Amino acid sequence: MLKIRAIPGKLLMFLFRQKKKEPPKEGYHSQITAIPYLLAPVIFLALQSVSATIGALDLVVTDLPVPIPIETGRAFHLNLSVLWPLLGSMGASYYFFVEEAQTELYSMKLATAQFWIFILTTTGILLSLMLGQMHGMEYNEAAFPFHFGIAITLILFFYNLLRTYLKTRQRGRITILSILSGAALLLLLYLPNLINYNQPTISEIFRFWVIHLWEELSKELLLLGALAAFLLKTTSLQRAKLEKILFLQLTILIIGAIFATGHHYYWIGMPTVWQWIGGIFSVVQFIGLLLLLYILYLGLAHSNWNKLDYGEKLTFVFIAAGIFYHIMGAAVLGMVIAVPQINRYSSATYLTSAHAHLAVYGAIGMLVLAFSVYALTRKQDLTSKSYFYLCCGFGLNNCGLLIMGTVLTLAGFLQTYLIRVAGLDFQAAQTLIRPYLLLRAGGGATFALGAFLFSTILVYHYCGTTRKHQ
Amino acid sequence: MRKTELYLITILLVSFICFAVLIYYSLMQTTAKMPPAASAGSEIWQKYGCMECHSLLSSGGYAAVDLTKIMSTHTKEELLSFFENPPPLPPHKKRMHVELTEKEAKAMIAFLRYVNNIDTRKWPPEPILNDKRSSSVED
Ligand code: HEC
Ligand code: HEM
Repeated sequence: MLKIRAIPGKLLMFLFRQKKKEPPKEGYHSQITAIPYLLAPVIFLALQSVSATIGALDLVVTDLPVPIPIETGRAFHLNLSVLWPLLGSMGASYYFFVEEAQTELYSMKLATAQFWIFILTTTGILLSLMLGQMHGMEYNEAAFPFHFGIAITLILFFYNLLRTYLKTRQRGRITILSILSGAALLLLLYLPNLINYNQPTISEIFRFWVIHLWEELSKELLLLGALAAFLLKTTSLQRAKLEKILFLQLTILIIGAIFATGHHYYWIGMPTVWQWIGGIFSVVQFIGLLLLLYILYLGLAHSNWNKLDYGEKLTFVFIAAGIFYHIMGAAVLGMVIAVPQINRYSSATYLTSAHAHLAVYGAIGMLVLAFSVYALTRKQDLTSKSYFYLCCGFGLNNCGLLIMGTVLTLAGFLQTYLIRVAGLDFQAAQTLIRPYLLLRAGGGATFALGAFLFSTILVYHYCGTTRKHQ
Repeated sequence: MRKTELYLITILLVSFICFAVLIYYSLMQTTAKMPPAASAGSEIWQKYGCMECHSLLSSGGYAAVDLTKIMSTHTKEELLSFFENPPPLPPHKKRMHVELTEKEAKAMIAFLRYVNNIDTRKWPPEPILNDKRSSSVED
């Protein structure tokens, strides 16, 4: 690997690698099992953004001929928004866990089996939704056998990581501990959701263990571990320094996220004390985000941009974008709507949608894509041409996301004002915000174009490298 | 076991157990048992994916009005006739709102009644301007 990279054009990079203090890390064989986990999300994203744009048009165009009704279409979209970032986070976890543990994965076979079970289950879920099967679990809309399939993949994921952890000599490293606790929580939080509850309050309580706690705790722990490992690998940031911050970050993340679930319990029939719990711990989450920003700053301050290869550069770009949306969508917008007195008026309006797109795709999705770019360009770096096209795709996609985010925020404010302040009839307000929804569909189309461009180039690049290396 | 491992497991377990205990006590205080008719209605609610368009208890979709307190503003007869002759879904002209059979509609109404009785801490909110108007009338 080093030899290939040392050809004259890449000489600078070779020098950069030589400067590192840690032993050369040219990868572990079992990292290859993580590749499908990081390739599939890119494809799912392209599928999702095209179908979502059609869905967004369906909200504004009279009698648009669409293959599936809006309710199953929305469920299709919401399930995907949970599932592909999950798959990608698991991939990034495997990829960096092995590297940080400095040992091969316990079982590559299990990881591959897990991948295929996941893909089969996801395909099953999407098909059953297209056939109109609904079960009343928003975001996690599936029949029991599919829930069971997901649970199996979570068990395999945790078991594989745990066994790897038990054989490593790097026990106690905070990066792998972060990933391991993320994996344990994924499973633990999912278990109560295997059952469907009729009682609406109980159903809401457990549903948010997946919607809120998966996104803001489990996946974040997985991605935090991966992010730290990436920074340790590509920058000169020192482990001891980073670990101190990570330790604090982990504490804040766990305590903040668990109790901040309260911000989803304000109006579901729980006592008023949850307004205090939810409000206060949302502030704790906010502090955690500032710390994340600081970690990125440290990473950038310790990196030498000119010496990064194209893939690494692009990874940094995605990470930076992810953290930007994390701040805008999750911290700023999220913080505003988490205050109970504001949430009372903003809940269940387009403000939630603005927040969801910026926070779920912007924060989690972008990080997953960052690691997809990274892992898929390790065998061979991008050519300057594909780097250029990927940057274009990234740019278009971000323009689309920003248009959607802005327009949805405006629509949300307007909707909140019209319905919750002025007391206008719901459908009358809906008619007034329709122009914004049309613009949102335009944002969606831009988003989809960008997503399609970078998915195609990335998949094409990866397929090209595997052919060459065979 | 190493210190870092012990520390992590401790904060995870302590936070999570406190959280679960808090939820348990909250539920003991607040939730009323569901009558079987409401349970049946809940299943219909889930089967038709009503929450993809309507919000209930503040979460769900926002293509249509929140249904948490619908039974405070509508009579049983109004809803029965709504479910039996549903209107088109704006902005569409041909696509209709979900239709329910009389039996389904009755179960749905029982469910919505049950939800109506949940103390949602004043969710959905009264419009602020209406609130002022009505309170100034009382003064
Ligand atoms: C595709 C989205 C969609 C789905 C799914 C849906 N609704 Fe609706 N619903 C609407 C819209 C839009 C209106 C407003 C129609 C109008 O007033 O023109 C509405 C109106 C209503 C109303 C009357 C509200 C009022 O204030 O007059 C009730 C009650 C209702 N829906 C119940 C349900 C139930 C129960 C279900 C599930 C069986 C359901 N809806 C599924 C979109 C939906
Ligand atoms: C082309 C891009 C996209 C378009 C046009 C789009 C469109 C939509 C539409 C129409 C809805 C239904 C509710 C609403 O009207 O807002 C929705 C909801 C949602 N979307 Fe997207 N979406 C896109 C991309 C994504 C991506 C990539 C993700 C995450 C991975 C995502 C996550 C969500 C979530 C979580 C919701 C639920 C919001 C809520 O209930 O508050 N979306 N989207």
